[in-house]
Amino acid sequence: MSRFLSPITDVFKSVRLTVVLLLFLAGTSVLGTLIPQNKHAADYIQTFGEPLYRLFHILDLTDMYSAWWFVLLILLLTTNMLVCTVSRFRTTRRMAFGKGFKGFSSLPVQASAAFERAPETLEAPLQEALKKRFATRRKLVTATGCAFEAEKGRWTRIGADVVHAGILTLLAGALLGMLFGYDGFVNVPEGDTVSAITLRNTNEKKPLDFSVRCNNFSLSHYDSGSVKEYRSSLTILEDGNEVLTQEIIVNQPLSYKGLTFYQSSYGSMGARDFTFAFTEKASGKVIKKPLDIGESVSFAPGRTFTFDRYKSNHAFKGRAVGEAVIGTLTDQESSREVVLLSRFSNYDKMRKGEWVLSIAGHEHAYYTGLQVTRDPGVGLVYTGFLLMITGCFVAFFMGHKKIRVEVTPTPEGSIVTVSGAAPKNKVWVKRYAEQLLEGMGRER
Amino acid sequence: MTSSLLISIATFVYGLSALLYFCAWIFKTEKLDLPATGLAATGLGINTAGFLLRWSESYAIGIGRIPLSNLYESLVFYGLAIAALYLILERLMKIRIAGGFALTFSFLALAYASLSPNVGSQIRPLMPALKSNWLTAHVMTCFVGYAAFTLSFALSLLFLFRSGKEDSDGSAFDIDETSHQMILLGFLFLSIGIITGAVWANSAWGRYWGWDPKETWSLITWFIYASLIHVRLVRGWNGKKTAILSLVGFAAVMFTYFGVNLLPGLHSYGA
Ligand code: HEM
Repeated sequence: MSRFLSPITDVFKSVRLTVVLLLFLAGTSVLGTLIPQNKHAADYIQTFGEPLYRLFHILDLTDMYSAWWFVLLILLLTTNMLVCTVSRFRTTRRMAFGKGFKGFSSLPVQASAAFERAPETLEAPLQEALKKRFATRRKLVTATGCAFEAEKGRWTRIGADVVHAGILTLLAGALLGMLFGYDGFVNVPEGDTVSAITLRNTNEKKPLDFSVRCNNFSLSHYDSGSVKEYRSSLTILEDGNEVLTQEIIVNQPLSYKGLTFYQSSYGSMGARDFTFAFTEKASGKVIKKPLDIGESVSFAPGRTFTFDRYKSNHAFKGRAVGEAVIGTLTDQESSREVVLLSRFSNYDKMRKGEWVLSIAGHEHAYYTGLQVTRDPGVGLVYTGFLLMITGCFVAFFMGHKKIRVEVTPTPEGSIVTVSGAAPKNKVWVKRYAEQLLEGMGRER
Repeated sequence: MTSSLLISIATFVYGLSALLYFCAWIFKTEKLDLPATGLAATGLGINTAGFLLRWSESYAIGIGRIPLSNLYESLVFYGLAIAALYLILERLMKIRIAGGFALTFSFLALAYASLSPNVGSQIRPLMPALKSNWLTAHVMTCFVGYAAFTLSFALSLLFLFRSGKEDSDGSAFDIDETSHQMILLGFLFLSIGIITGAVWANSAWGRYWGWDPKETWSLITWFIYASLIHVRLVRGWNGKKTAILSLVGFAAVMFTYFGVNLLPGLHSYGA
């Protein structure tokens, strides 16, 4: 069985495949940024022309990152990583955690020096120096004298595997999110409670097993007028009982039972809490009265004002003039319609009445626009992130270091030879070998 | 004294320093070494002061945020990161011949920030989505990564230039190895940059990845450098072959930084 499979596993064991796949992914991703993704057919035809659009369509280039062949590339890469890691697993484990001091007798020589002292007097300073850097050391008697071996960071051999495991974890998390997650939105007017959201892909309603109330929405601005912050106060209700109240802003969502609510937009539901000002032209006297839609108020003997309607955008001679209140002014027996504009408080002067009416102030009622997502894969994805960063650091900057120092007696004293290897830091070995000899008092 | 004045001065100092490094290299005079390094360090000091002053200016006008959120500010930080990383490298590895290239990049970054009419230097308030510590971490790590890739690019160019008169002084090995170390550093920081960006996007929009052009290009860059790292560490490529790959990787970095703005997408505020 394994004989038939081995050509296949051989392909998947090769780093050549890894590199080809990585460069293929890079190349195709470039295409995906040159061709805008997920637009309407008409947009493509206008930009690229009909024949090219056909080609894009056949090759799935207009929704490339979820095209079957792109997913296949990622799957191949995953298999490549898995096969590679698994097939090396024993070796890696032995190298990283098995018995130490392997291959020390064949380490390349880095430096050597002759000393006028006898080998025995060199031993103590040598041991001392090695101890500073290396936790694992041993002394050997050799045919020609003795040798000291030291190593550290053997476990860092798993660095690359940690990176690969991180990438696999991340991909698993992404898959989990794609299979079991969803993405929707809901608009909640201030004071209202909702218990269903609309899914973004299908526009289907999805009921929640709890409800969400928007207590309040507010906007704040910078002096320049641009928006500084959107803020909603939300309460989660279970069977009508409040279980959680939290304010959310962009970047600080609310999470409950695996769902996360993000502040994503807002909108106006009209105005409320109106106050009107009534100014008597002759005396300049001003009276202010609060008034709700449909109510009337008497502001002077024999004169009443009725608040009939609110319009969020009134048209005056074909021009949009913004928010307006339409009301009825009753003066003794006669009554007439008046229009008050919130942006132009002098507008009512044009009526040339004895009293000038205006909107003194009002509040806005908003709805908050919430993005609602459920992604059970995020935990795995973030775990993958951590593994990748840790693994990269270990693999790149914490390599395995081996040093062997041979001390051979000679008629004049002794010869010390330092050999060693540090595959991740070739500059270091040479420098360390020189330092070691100098530390022992080598004449320069 | 305003921050933009400081940045203009730093531009000039970087330019001068680059010139001295090149002179020292071409005329092989060690006399110029100390002034070149001194000027580079001075430029870095002024650049940093300009960065900090801009930060405090934003507080003075009531906005109060770290200056890392538009093209001008990112260029200022990019120039700073290159100069700082180069000076550290000079201390550790004694590779002075990269100095001229490195400081030319710092000079170009700052000059582009100050002079180009496309780059607004006004301090603008942040839109709500940009107010996040993840964003700060994202921009900083990305640009440290870009700076490391820039140095690797400079070293790879040098390597290719000098590959004719190979190894007479053993420096070819050092250049190649140092370039590789910079790629490893850059790759680590680019990875952290992409990851912090993903975490930020998730906290603002509820998705950690959306294939917008800037995201995608940073991933393309990541793929290219990952290939380079694999052929080097596993298949033992080095020297000319990896130097050429490093040039390709850097082209992707530059496109991620500047080119993406020519494409439609989300990141248009940033860089
Ligand atoms: C993007 C997806 C990746 C894939 C598919 C992948 C795949 C592979 C494969 C198949 C090998 C060969 C193992 C062998 O020859 O025994 C390998 C080795 C290696 N990979 Fe990756 N890799 C990926 C990403 C990374 C990343 C991001 C790093 C960065 C740290 C990395 C670091 C390494 C190292 C250092 C080795 C050499 C291991 C050794 O020689 O001990 N890999 N990778």
